[in-house]
Amino acid sequence: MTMAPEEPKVEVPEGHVKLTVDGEEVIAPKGELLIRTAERLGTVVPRFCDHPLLDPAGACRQCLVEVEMGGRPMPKPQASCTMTVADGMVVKTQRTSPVADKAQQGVMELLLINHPLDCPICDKGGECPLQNQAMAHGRPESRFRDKKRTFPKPLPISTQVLLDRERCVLCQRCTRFSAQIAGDPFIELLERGAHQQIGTAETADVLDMASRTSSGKPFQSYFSGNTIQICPVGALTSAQYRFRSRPFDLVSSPSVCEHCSSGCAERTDFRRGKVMRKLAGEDPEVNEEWVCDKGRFAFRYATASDRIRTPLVRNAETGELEEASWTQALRAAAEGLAKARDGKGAAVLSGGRSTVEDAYSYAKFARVALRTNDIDFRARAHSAEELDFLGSRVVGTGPENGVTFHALEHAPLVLCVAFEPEEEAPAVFLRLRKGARNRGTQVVHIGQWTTPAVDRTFGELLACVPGAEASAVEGIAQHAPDLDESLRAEGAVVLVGERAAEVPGLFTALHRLAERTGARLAWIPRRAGERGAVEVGALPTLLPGGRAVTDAAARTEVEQVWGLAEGALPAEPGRDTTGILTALVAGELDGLVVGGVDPNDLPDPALAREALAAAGFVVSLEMRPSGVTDHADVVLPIAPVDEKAGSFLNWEGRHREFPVSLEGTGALPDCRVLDTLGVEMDADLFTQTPAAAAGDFARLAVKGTFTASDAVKVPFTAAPDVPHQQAATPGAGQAVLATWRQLIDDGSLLIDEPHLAGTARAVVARMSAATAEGLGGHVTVSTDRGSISLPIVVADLPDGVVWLPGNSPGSKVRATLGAGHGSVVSIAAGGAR
Amino acid sequence: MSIDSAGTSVAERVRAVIEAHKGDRGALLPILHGIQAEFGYVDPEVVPVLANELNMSRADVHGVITFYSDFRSEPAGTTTVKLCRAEACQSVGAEQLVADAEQVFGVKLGQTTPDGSVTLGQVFCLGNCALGPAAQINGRMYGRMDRSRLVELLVRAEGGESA
Amino acid sequence: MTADPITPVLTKRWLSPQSWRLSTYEDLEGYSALRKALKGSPEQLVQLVKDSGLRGRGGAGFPAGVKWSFMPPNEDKPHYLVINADEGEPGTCKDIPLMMADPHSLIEGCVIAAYAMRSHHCFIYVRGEALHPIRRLNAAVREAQAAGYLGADILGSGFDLELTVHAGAGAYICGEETALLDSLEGRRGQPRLKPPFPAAAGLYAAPTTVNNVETIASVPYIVNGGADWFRQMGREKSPGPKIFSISGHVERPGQYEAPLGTTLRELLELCGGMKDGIPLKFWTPGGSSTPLFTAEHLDVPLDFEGAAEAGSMLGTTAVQIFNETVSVPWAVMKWTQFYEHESCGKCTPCREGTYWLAQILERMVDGHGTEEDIDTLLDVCDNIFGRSFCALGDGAVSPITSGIKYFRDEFLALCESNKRELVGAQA
Repeated sequence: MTMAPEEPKVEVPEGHVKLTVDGEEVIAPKGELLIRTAERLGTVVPRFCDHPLLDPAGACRQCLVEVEMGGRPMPKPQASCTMTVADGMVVKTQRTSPVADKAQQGVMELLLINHPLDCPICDKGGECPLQNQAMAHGRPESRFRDKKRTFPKPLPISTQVLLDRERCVLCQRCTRFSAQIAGDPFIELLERGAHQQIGTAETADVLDMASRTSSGKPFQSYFSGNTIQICPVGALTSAQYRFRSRPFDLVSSPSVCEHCSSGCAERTDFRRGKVMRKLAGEDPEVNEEWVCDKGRFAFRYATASDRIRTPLVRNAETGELEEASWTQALRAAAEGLAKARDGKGAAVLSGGRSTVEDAYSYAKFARVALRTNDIDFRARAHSAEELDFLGSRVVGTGPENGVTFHALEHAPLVLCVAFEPEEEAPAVFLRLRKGARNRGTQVVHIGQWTTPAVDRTFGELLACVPGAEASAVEGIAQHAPDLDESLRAEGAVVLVGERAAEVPGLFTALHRLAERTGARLAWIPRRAGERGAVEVGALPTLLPGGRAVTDAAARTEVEQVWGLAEGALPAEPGRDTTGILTALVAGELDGLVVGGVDPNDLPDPALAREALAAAGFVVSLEMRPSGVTDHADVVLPIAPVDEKAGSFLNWEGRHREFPVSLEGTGALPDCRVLDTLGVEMDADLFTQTPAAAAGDFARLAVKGTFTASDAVKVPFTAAPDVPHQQAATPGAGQAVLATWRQLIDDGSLLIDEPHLAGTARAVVARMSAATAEGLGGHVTVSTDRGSISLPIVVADLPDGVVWLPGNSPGSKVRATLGAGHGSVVSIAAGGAR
Repeated sequence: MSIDSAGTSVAERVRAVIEAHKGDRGALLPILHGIQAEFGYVDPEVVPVLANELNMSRADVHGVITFYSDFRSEPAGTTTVKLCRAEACQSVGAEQLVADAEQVFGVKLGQTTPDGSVTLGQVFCLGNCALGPAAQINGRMYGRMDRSRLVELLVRAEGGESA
Repeated sequence: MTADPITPVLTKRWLSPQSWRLSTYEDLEGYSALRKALKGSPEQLVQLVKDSGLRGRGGAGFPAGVKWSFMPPNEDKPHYLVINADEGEPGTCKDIPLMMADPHSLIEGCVIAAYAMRSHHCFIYVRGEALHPIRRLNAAVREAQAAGYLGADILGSGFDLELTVHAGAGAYICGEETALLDSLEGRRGQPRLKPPFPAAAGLYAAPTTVNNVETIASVPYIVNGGADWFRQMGREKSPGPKIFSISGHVERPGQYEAPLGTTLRELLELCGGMKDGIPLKFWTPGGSSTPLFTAEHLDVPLDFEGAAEAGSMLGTTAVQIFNETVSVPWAVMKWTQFYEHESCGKCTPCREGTYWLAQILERMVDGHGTEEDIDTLLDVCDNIFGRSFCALGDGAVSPITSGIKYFRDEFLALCESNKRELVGAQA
C-alpha cells in the first residue's frame, strides 16, 4: 500500500482569506487592502494618495495591479489601495505582471508631465516619493513636448504652510487629512480638471487671518504641519524649514515632544548643532503618525538670543548678576541654601516641564539636601484635594492598568470634564475624534461652550457655570440618567484636566462617579513633566513611587534605598506652592530653589513676586531669563530637551524615553546640576546623569501595588473628600470667569516662531448673547488688579459667564487679573478699538 | 459688506436666498443658482456669508463654486447669449455663427462687451439638434439661428422685451 | 396592446398639440399605468421590469429590474430614487426633448419606480444648461401634484412621494452616477469609490437607485403593455424601443424612435439620408465616448451586443454623422478638448492625460505634428484606458484610438511636411 503524500494544508483562520500574490500564497485578514498584503510580502507597490491612516481615495492610480477573481482576470488593472483581499484572488503586482508594470509607468509619466522637475531647489528633494520613484521606475527622457501648467508660487495656505501648486500631484492626502483626521476647515480642492488645485477660499489675505474672527470659518488648524509631512511631493512646505537644508545633510534622532502630556514620538533633524525641524514619529500606541503644530514647530526657544549659557551670581555690592564659573556659582548656591536650610528652611518649586529624571532629582534634592517636604511642581492653580487625588488615583497607573490612547479610541463613551482636549493635549483630541468618527464613540464634554473640539468630536456639551463642574458631576445620576447608564458600560472613560484643581470638590465628585459607575478615570495634565513629577514625589505629600510622607514604613523604605539614617526624612507633609510662597512672605522660609517656573503662571503672580522679593536666598535653574531671574541670587543654566537625554511619563503613565539629540553643547541637565549642588552641600543624590537618576528612581518606582484586573491601586493616600461648592453668583455688572489656555499662545516655549504664532486662534472674549447685550461688541473684563479688553464673540455659554483665553496676546488672565476659572469679574462695555 | 442703492445690504439679500432653501439638505447648488439669479454672478464676497450660514468652510464653498462652469465670479452682461457648438449645430453652421457673433460684438466666447451689454458664451447641445444652430438668450432657447436673427433678437432683448 | 416596430411608443405623444400638458397626457393613457402599478406590490413591479429585460438607457445598459432589486427590502434608512437627466454626452439629445415633449411620462415612471423601490423622495437631476426642460418639468410637477399623482397618499393608495427637480451647474462628470450624487449633496461632483454602491450607500449614505430619464420613461409602457409585449420590440438581449438622436450631416437631424437593433442604414432612411448627398465618412453610434464607426458599419445592429461586437458601444444612441468634408483629426481634437475641459481632476490618467492629448492634437491640427506624436497619442491612450477612476477617461480616448485606427492616413498627412530630412553622415 502506498501512502498518498499529504497535501500541505494551510489553515485559514476565522476572519481571514487565502489569496495569491505574485505566485505566493498568503493568508490575509478580511478587509485588508491589497497594497498592504503585498507590502507584508515585501513588495512595495508604488503609491501617492494611499496613506494607512486615511480613507482610501484611489485618486493617483499609481498602485495599479492585475487581479484575477474566480479564475477570471478582471479586464482592467485595479487600484491596490482601494481593493480588499478576497478568497481565491490572484494578484499580480509590477513584479510579475507586465500589464501592471506598464500601467504604473504610464501613470508615473503622466504625473511628471506637469511637474516642474525642480528637485534641485525643492525642499523635498532627497526624500521625495515622486523623485525616488521617478528615478527608480520612470523614463529617462520625457516624451512631453508641450506646455506645462504653471502657477504663481508659492501660495501661503497659512503663515506656516506654503503651497507650490505646480509640484502638486493632487493626491488629496492633505485635504483628506484636514477633513478626516483633524476635521479642520483647512484646505480643499478647487477648480476642475487640469486646472484643479489645492487651496483655500482666499489665500491672499491669509496673513491677517489670525485677526479674523467670525466670517465663515477662517483657516484654522493646530495640525496643519502634518499635511507637509504626508505630502508625497514638495508641494507643501513650511515657512520655517523652506530652503533651510537638504535631507541628506541632516542627522536624525528619535525624540519625544516636550510640550504637552501626550508624549508624542518625534524625530528631530539637526545640522551642525542646530535643530532644523521636527517631524512626527511613528508610534501606533500614542500619536500614530501625527503631531500638533506646537510639537512640530515650537523648538526655537532653545536657540533664543537671550538663552543663559553661563552661571550667574549676584554681586552683593552692586546687586547685579554677574557671570561666574560653575565652581563659583555652585559654591555660592550651596552656601546660601545651606544657610537657609539651617535657618528657617528652604523650599523647591520644580515646575511642570521636567523630565522624570530631573523631577526626581528635585524631589530627592529637597529631601536629602534641604531636608524638607516643601516641594511642589505645580506651577499653576492647585489644591490639597488634588494632592489626595494624585496620590490615590494617579500614581502608579500605566498603560497596563490605566486608561490609554487605545482605550479612548475604543471606548463606548468618553466624558471630558474641565478638560479642553484640542488646546491641552492635541493627540488626545485626535484619538477622541478618530474613535467618534470610526467607531461611534460618544464624547460628552462638561464645560462652558461648544468649542471646536466639541464639534469635531461629534460631541455633546453639558454646559455649566465655571466652578459648578463638581455639582454637575454629582448631578449626573439625577439629571442625566442616560449618561449615568453609559458610564457603566465596559470601557467607558472619564478624563479630567488641570482646571479641575480650581473647582473645589470636583476631584472628589469624579472619584465617587468612577467608584459608583465603574468608569475609568484618567488625569490629563497640560504640561509634559507633570505626570512624571507626581510619580517621583515632587509634591509635599508624596515621596517617590506614591509613598505618603506620613507613612513611616514608606519613609523607612526610601531612607534605606537612599542610604539615609533612619528618621532622616521629614515626617510632616510639606507646604504646597501657595504655602511655600506665603511662608516666604511671612518670613517662615528663607531659601528657595526654582526650576523653570514663571511667576505669571502661578495662581497669584503678585504673591509670587512678593515671595521672591522676600526670600532670603533664591537659586534659579533656567534656560532663559524669567520673572524669577530678577530675584535670583544664583542662576544656573540648564539644558533644553534637545540637549539632554531623559524621559517623560505621558498622561497614560507610559514611559517615553529619548536620547540626546544635540551632543556636546556643554549644557547640563537639571539632574546633573542638582547632583553637583548636592555634593557641595554634602548630600549625595546619585543623579549625575539622566541614566543614573533613572536607575536610582527605578529602585523606588511603584511595584506590585496593582493587579492587572484591579483598575484602582490600593492607595497609600486617602481618596479626595471635599464637598462641592455652589458656583459663584455674579452681581450686576459682573460675570463668572471661564478661562483656559489656547495651544498656540504666549507660552514661554513658543517664542521666536512668528509663523506658528500666525496660526493662533483669535483672541476674543466669549459670552452668551444675553450677557453681551449692551456691551457693544467689545468687553472690558476687570478685577481690582487690572483689566482686559477684547472683542466679543457670542457663543453658547451660560448667561453671566465670560470666557477669556488664559495666556494669549492681550489676554493674560493670571498676570493681569489675578483671577482664574470660576472667579467673579466685572464686565463693562469695552468701547470700539 | 457693501450696501446697494436700494439700501439692502448684499448680506441680507444673500441670507434671503439661503432662507428660501432653509431645511433642504445639500442646498448649496440651488442656493448658488439663486444667488446668481439675484446678482447675476457669485461675488467672492458672498463666500464667507454662505460658509457661515451653511456651516461649511470657506474653502469648501469656494471649491464647489469653481468646480461648476455655470457659476460666474464676475458680473455678466445685461444679455447673456450662449451659442451651441455641439456636432449637430456645427454641421449646420454653428462655427460660422460663432465667428459672426464674435465679430458683431467684438468679443471672444466667454467675454462680456466693454459696455456690459452682452456676454457671449457657449454651450454643448441644448437638445434642439433638429433645429440648429441653437442658441440660448437670457435662458430662452432659439433655433435656426443666423447672424441677422441673432442681432434682431438681441435688439429686442435690449429693448426690454422678453426676447 | 400589440407591438408594431414602426408605431412609436416613447415618442407617441410628442407631436400632439401641447403634448406636455397633463390633460393631453391623461387623454392619451397617461397615468393609467400608475393606477395599475399601485394595485400591485413593489415586488411584482420589480419582477415585471426584470422580465421585460429593460436595460439602462444611460449608456451602460445594466438591467433595470436587477438594479432595482439591489435596494434593501427594509426601510431602516430613507430610500432615494434619482433620475439622471444630466444629459451632456456630445451628440446626445434624447432626454431633453423627452422632458420637453412628454414630461409626465417621466413623472409617471418616477412614481411607479419609487413605489417599486419603497422610495418617498425622488430627485430629477437636470443638466444646468438645460433651463427650458427644468421650467417645463417644474410646471409638470405642479400639475401632477395638483392632480394627486404626486405628494401624499397618491391616488388614495397611501403611498407618498416628493419629487424635486434639481439643476446641475455645468459639469459633464455629473452624468456619472456617484458624481451626480455628490453634486446633489451640494458638493464638487467627483466620482465616489465603489463599493459601497449606491443601492447600499448612495445619496446621504442611504439606499439609492440612479436611473436614466429614458429608462424610467419606458416603465409606464411596460406596466401597461406587459413584459412580453415589450420584448416583442428590439432583440433578445436588448429588448424595447429606443430614442436615437441623429445629428450631423443628414437631411433631417432629430430624435427617431426605433427598436433596439435597428441599423444605421435604416436610421438614415428615416432621416432622409446624407445631407446634400455627400457620402458618409464616419459616425458615432452612441456619442463621442463610443469608438467611431465608418461606412463599413452601416449594417451593424445598434443594440448593446451588436455595437460591442463591432468594436464600439451603444452608449446613449447619440448617432453623429459626419460626411467626407470633415477632417478626422480636427473632429477628434474637438472632442478631446471637450474631455479635457470636463475631466473632473480626481485621478491622474484622466486629468493629466486629456491635458496632454489635447495639446498634441492641437499641435498636429496646427501642422506641427510628427509621426512620433501618433505613437505617443496611442500609448498615452493606452495608459489612460482602463486606468482612470471612472469611465470618463475611457470615453475620452475612444475617438482618438478609433480615429487613428480607421483614418491613420489623415493623421500622417498632417505630419508629412514635418518629417525630418535624413541627412547622410558627414565626412
